[in-house]
Amino acid sequence: MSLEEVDADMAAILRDNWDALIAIVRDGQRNSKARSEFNTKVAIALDSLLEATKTEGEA
Amino acid sequence: MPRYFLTRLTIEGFRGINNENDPLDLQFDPNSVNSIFAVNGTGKTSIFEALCFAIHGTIPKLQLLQAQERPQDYFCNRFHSKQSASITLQFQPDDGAPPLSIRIDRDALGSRTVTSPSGHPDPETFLSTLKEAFALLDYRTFSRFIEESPLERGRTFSALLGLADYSECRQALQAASDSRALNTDLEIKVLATAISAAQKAAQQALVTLTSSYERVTGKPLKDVDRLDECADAVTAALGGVELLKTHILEKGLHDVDFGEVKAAIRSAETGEKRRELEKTIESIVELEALAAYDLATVAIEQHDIGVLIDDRDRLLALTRGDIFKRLYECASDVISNGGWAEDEKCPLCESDLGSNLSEHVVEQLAQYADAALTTSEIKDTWQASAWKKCLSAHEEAAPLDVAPDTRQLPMLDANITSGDISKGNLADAATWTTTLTERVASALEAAQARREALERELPASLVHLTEQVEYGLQFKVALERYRESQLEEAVHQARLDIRERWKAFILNATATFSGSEEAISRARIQSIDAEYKSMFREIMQVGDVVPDLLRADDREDLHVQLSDFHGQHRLSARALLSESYRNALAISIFLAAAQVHSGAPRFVVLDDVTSSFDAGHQFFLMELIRRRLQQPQNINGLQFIILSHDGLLEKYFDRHGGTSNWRHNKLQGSPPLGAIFHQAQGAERLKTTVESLLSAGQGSQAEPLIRQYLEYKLQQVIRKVDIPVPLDFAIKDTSRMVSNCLDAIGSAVELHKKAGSLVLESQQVQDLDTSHVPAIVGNWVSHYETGSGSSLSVHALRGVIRSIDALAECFRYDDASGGSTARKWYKSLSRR
Repeated sequence: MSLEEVDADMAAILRDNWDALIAIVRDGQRNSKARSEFNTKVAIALDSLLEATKTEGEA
Repeated sequence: MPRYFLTRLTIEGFRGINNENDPLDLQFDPNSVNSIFAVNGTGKTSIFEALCFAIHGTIPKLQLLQAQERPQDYFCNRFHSKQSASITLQFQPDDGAPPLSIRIDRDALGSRTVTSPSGHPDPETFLSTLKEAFALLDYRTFSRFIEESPLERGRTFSALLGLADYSECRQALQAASDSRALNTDLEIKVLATAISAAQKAAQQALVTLTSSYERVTGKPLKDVDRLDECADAVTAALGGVELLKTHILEKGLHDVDFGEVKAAIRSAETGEKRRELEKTIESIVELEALAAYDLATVAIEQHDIGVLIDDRDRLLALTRGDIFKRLYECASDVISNGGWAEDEKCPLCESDLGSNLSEHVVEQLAQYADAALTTSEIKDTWQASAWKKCLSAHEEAAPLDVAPDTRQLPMLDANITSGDISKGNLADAATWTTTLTERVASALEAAQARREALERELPASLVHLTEQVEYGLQFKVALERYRESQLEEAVHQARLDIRERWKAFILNATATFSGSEEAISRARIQSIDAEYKSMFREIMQVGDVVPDLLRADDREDLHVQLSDFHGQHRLSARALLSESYRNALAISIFLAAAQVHSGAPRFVVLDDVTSSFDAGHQFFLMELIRRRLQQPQNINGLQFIILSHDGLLEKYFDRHGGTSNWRHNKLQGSPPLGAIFHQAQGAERLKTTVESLLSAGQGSQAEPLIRQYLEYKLQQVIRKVDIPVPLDFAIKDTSRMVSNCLDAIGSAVELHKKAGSLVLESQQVQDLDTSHVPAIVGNWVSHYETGSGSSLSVHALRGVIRSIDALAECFRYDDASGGSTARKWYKSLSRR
């Protein structure tokens, strides 16, 4: 099963932030700042998705 | 996509290679094994480091230096006048496209510049495609492979199989789906706390709604799901009073202006006592709301926080303070970055620990994490508590008249937020809360007594009405607060839900990706299984020691075990294999993986990888490379470049050098001050340089080159006519190489002379004995090798060059058998 089939919205967020995800580990080194930046981007995307869903529901 | 052979390498001013204005210029044949021999201190490692720097931008040895050792000062040759380095690589694509060259410069300020003399549009990116784990291999890489932890080995192996990106992606997903990190980064705990606080606020508002509804309507509030109807009932009850009709009827409760309503009552009956009654009723309503706080819940919360503080203090007592925390964090970094591999030694004093360092560090840091977690729990419990709201309401309630400077909430809040709350602070705050709640009872009693007194003095109808209006207002405010809390809870809940959805998704994605990565890795292991086992068998010449690579089920760990060890099965390779076997296994795995790799480099540089092997195993490894792995014998094979300082291996190189599938080079020179040359740069070039130096009267500068020329020509004679040399020939004192060669040649000639089998012409033998050898010994060996006396004269040095050329000619003859005459080497001292 593809990730789109698991949850299309979440898969889109993952795809949009793929570069930030990959930056978490470079040359074998884990970067906790990059992880926190990735999660911050995800949190913003989740709130935007929530807002969009709400607006859609209201319309 | 084409793959690339390394065909040329020029180096100037880098590490041990000075070669100012005359770069060391090495050429490699894609269709041959390329070997380079150099005795210690003649620049072999600098060649490997130049390749590391060119491709990876770093030198592993310098990376290990500490900042105060100024590693940046050791890239360029310290005797090069410009303190700059240049490395040029030439690559031949395997699809027949034109070669491309990349030049890497490092200037005196340490800046790295990458350009392409052949015009590649993005040389830096091209170099990054060559960063494959199998391209540059040294002894350390192999010895570490078996020694490192299964996880590190698994990651190294992933890189080796071309799965480094997958491995890093898996690690990134694992980091991004780590529960603790997600809870922090996505504020999941914060949202849960906010939801709990909103629920408690709604509950408190509901208590007020219930009591005020009953006061206004005289009926109990039965159904909290029908609060709109209750609000209408409140408006109806108040609107039923004639005096208030115009202000209330036909309005929703939300729109009722209670200020206007109170003003209407005041204007109906003005006077001081009326206003005092109104104030008193306001106080009673407020005090009743305070009295409605569930003090039993507050007491439980105080107890729970107390227990958490005890827990935190207990956990903190197990730790050693902030300085040690920083120490453990640094140690953890050092260990996880591979900076300290000896897990049973202390990295500070290097003494034996007798226990596992990494486990100890993890354990210590876990204690700090537990303490931090408990501190965070104290904060969360406090933020969501009814106690906090109760204390806040009491301190701010007008009827209790708590002076701002005596309020304890701000200090308590700050102590809890900063994590500094003590049991003493907690006890003081609990006592203060009790004091305030007790004060409510007496204040309420006094207010009610005062109301009764005032009611007796004022008309009853308006007294009751004032009270009803006040409770109506309280209902309105509580209803608004209730709805706000519900809305707030819903907003937080939605944000929490979508985060939980992400959490579930990213965990799923991580598991899916890890599963796929595992499957690919297993398939790759399977694809090289037969090959590395066969290579290992071939190098070590054993059949009953069979290694096995085992990938862990749910981790990147790669275990090495022996499926067969002289008839015993499934045993630890680390525990049983000797150093040479371990290295043979690592070499077999790396080379087998390199064979199936499809990355950009189609070359493997091996730097002194046979150090732990005896002559036999060296031979078997070299034969394996020459016969099975080198392209084009192996159509999918690679180009091998072998660097070695091993004297025994050099004999093997010498034997194969010059054959169709082997190209051998030998480095000579006097680094790091002087230049390094190699034989393939051409004896003639050496001779030309020597002659021009001698013509300029620079005898001392010419001497090292003459030595190089002498050694080259004498070793050429030895090789060409197959003169036997002692086993330790190549590992004798190198400054005595010329006399070692002359001794070997002289002994062989003498032997054949006595046996009557010498093929040399009598004139050649006589010239050797009476002219050339004595001239070289007299003009060179006795001066140069003993180090006695001053530099030789230019004239004498010219004589040495002439003598060595003439000596070499004594081992050649004119062959007229093919029609025309050709000057040829004797096949041996007894055969043309």
